Amino acid sequence: MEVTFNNSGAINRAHYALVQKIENASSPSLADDAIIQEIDTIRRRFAKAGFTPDSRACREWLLILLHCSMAMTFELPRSDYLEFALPAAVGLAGGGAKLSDRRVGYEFCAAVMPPEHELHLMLVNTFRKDLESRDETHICLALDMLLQVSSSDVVPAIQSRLEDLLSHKSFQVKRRAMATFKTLSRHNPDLLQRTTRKIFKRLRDDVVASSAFSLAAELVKAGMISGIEVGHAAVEVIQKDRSNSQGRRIHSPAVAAIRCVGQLIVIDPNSGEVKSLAEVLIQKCLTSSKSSKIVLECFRALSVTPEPILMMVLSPSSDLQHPVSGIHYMLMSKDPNLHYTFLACLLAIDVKLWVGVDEAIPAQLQENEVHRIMSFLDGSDLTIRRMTIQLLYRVDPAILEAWFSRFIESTPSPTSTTLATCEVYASRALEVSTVLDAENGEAFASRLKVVLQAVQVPHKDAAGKDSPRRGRAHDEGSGAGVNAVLESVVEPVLDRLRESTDEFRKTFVEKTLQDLQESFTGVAAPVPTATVICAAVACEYSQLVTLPPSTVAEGLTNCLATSPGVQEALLIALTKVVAMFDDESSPVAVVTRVEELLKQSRKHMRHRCDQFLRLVKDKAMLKTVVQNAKSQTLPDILLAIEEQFRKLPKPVTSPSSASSRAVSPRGAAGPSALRYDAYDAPGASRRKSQDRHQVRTRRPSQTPSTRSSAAYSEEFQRSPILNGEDPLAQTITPAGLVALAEGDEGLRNFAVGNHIQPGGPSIVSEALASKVDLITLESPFHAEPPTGIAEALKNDIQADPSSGISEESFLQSFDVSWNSIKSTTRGWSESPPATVAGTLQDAGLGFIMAFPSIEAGIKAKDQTFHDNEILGMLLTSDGQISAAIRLRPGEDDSSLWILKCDTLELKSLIKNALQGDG
Amino acid sequence: MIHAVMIFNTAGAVRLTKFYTPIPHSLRTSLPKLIFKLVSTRASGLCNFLDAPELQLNWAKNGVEGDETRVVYRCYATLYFVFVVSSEESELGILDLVQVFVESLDRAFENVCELDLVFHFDEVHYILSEVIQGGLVLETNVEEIAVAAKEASKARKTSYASAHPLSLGSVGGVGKNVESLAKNMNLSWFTSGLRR
Repeated sequence: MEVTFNNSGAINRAHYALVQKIENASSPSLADDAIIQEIDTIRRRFAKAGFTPDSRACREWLLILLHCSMAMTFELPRSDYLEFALPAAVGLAGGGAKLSDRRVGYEFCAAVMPPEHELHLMLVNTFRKDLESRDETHICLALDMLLQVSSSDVVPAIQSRLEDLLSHKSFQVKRRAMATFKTLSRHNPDLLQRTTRKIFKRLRDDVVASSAFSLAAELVKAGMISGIEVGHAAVEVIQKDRSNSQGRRIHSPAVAAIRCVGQLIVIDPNSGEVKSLAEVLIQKCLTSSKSSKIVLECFRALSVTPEPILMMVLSPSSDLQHPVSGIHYMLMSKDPNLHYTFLACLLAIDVKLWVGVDEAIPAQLQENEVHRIMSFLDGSDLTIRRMTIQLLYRVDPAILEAWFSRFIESTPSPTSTTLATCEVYASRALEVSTVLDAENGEAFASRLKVVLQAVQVPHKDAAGKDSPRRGRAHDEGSGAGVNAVLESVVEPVLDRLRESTDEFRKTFVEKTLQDLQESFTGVAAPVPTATVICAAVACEYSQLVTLPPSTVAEGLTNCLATSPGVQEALLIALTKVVAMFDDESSPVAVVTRVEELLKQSRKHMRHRCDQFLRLVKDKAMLKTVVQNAKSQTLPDILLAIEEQFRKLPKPVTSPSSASSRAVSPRGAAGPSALRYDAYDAPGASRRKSQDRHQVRTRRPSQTPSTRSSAAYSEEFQRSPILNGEDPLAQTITPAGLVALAEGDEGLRNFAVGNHIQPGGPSIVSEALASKVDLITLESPFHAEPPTGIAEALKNDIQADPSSGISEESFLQSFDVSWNSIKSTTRGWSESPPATVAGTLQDAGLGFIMAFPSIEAGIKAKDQTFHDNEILGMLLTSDGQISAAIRLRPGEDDSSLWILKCDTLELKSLIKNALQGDG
Repeated sequence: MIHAVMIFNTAGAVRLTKFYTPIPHSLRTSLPKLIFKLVSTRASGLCNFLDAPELQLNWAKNGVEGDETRVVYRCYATLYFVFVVSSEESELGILDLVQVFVESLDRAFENVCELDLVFHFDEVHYILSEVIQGGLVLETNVEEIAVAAKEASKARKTSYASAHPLSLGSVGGVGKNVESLAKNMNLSWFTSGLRR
């Protein structure tokens, strides 16, 4: 934001600085930090100023606080976070030096004060004083605030004055007074009695008639005035109105009068006046057909008119034209708002009145008009599509059935369409299914299956073999949607289930799981999206159905030959389902299949399989996981699994997990880590670490509750750690996306929490902290060393007397020097220890390397040497040891080097040699 | 009834929120995000109404009473003006009300720009309060709103003068500083910036 303070119009420098901070913040969380900081500053200022801060300062602080509450991206820490300023705001509202100050005080109360707050009482006298004022502005201000922050306490104090204000000379005051009566009547319905004498006069006053009709409807509802009399007044206004254009007179009294007529019909549908009121509405509709606002309002008022009366009024024997005849132009217009109005009008009245099913009233639409309506189903506007589907369903569900069948037939072959096209076709078909099977879960499940089979093919059929798709980045070409999980289908289906009745849910789940079981008995296997839905419903709702858990587990197990993302969802669902097994039964087949999967999979899925197998072996732990889950959804079960394994003793660490230290707060690493300087990561590890850091720190910068699941998916699929090591970073699976999109704050916070609040150690950092101190732990490395060169080196040193050092003396010297040299540096190399050792020797620094023999059982005084370690020493010309190095093998032919050297320059030389190798 | 009025820019930054229905604390920040998500994904040639079951669900989940909820929105240059209304309100009437509100802002700020909404949000609230009170439409005539805004400004000056007898009466009115800003920054988008 490039604007100077003088040009900005900011209320003061602090306001300007705050806006600058918010607008220039690189992420929403940073902007929120600035806001919270500003609130705390103002809190301190208020505390310092006591109860009577300077009026101007108070106004400015309150305005900044209002700005803060509006600009917050995330929730304020507590709902009462700004309430500290309420006493000052109440004081300012009552005693501010200027009207603008008082308005700010009122505004702050309106925005921050909860409905039943004790400080409402403090405002009563202020309201009363303002209402008694002769100044119209003060009266309006008080009425405005009464409409926003009214409470039952205020009614006795102002009711008499409020009644007088109904006759005030200013129409602004009269309008507000009527609106205030309506609002305060929620607290005290008897209050309306005070308006009965004056309301009819106001109904005939054009300037305030809109507010008067709104109040009159309340009075009729309360039985305080005659509906017939109000009806007459309304008809008078409607007939007097001459607006038949899309003019700018927006809320003409006619609109309010028509709405009032509708309310009168609802209040007494059997009144003898209803027929004449309906005729007036139809007449108005026809004479004002160009004013879409009036037409829509008339249709809505007609929608509550009893059907027999409308049939009578609209029959050919009646002199009146059909109201639909006046709105044909809307359908043929190019304005989408007119299409909306047309559909809204038709939806307002019973289809019998215009579709021609009843002989008494002929069809009101021509064939081309029906085609035009049908064409809305293919339009790009979701609102219009939804309305059209509703309309056609009301006319005849068979029309929609036929459209659905044709649509499915016309769906292009899955292998020749893009993922986006698949998503569009599936979601369009789903929109229709949602209406067609609104009450029948089983039918919905069947139709969903049809939709998915039309846009996807079973996993193995797609390419003739297992071809796991790695991510959306690749899903842009033809056939991309074949094996992808269609989020636009999964999310709405699961949402629908959560909102639906128990019966709908039960029948849907039963049908889905039965189909899953049957799909492996001859019919094609389920498509990926269907598999994820099966996994989600099996996890969340399998307890609702009569199918035994073993059958559900069998069905899920049969689906495991699919892409890794889907496999993960299936494994999580299986965890839940297996937990439902009797204590005696054992999921042998499931275990066998998962063991096979373990052998075939890459690291991440191996980790999941391993977790599953460990849980199955320990049923008590399995049940604890399911019981501890916040809900039975896939993400919550996954969260519970991770939580459970985090509590267990830590598994062996690996170089890659050590590299994650780069993203762990230093403070969380524990005191032992402070004994050494941080070691450098090798190139690859460093890159991984940086990427991971980017992924993790990018999230808080975006808005968790507004981000689409697609965005998460993209991030997940683009992530370089897709096949990586950190299980937390991999929880955002296609299945997990569903819950993330549903606002599963727990999982999101779990994944990002450490970075939102860097000050406090999180679960993640604690977990990492336990892995970082590799030096002091027993060797985590079990990989076989590349013994060829190492053996040669070992032989060299043992056999080569030119070095002048025997193995034993070498190790003793090494031990002494290792303990005496203080400065430690460490890092990773991508090469195995032997290669690194060779590099050091080739560097010309004069390193003497040794491979301690296990047989010798070498144990120096204080130091235990690890298996397969290579040791190195650098001797000065006077025979002193200036540097010592240990090279430990890591996974994937990498190695950890630990260098002890007190000379800065020498250390730098050695490091350069080591990094040159990495 | 009008439940809420919101203004956000095309990047999703909230410029104004005003709730006329008491809603839980958590919804105050999540609702604008949800609505922005719904509105910003709609192309420019579509209708200005949103029948949003997602919103209804969210509303109901948080214990907010009310029947069907609709969203009426309009995009002007870089800003979305969004009104969340109950089914008893006329969507078409509200759509015109959005226009009235924007025209009123333009009159008050003389070529209103996004910065006016950022730095003068209290004035924006005031103008809104001339149009809507307690969720009810109060005034729809731009002339009347402009007159009311001017009178209020005059009343403020009077009250300022009475509170500060030695002042020269040069109290900043609406858009005082921003007048030059709008010209300098060429952000006077209102007259030419209507997308539809």
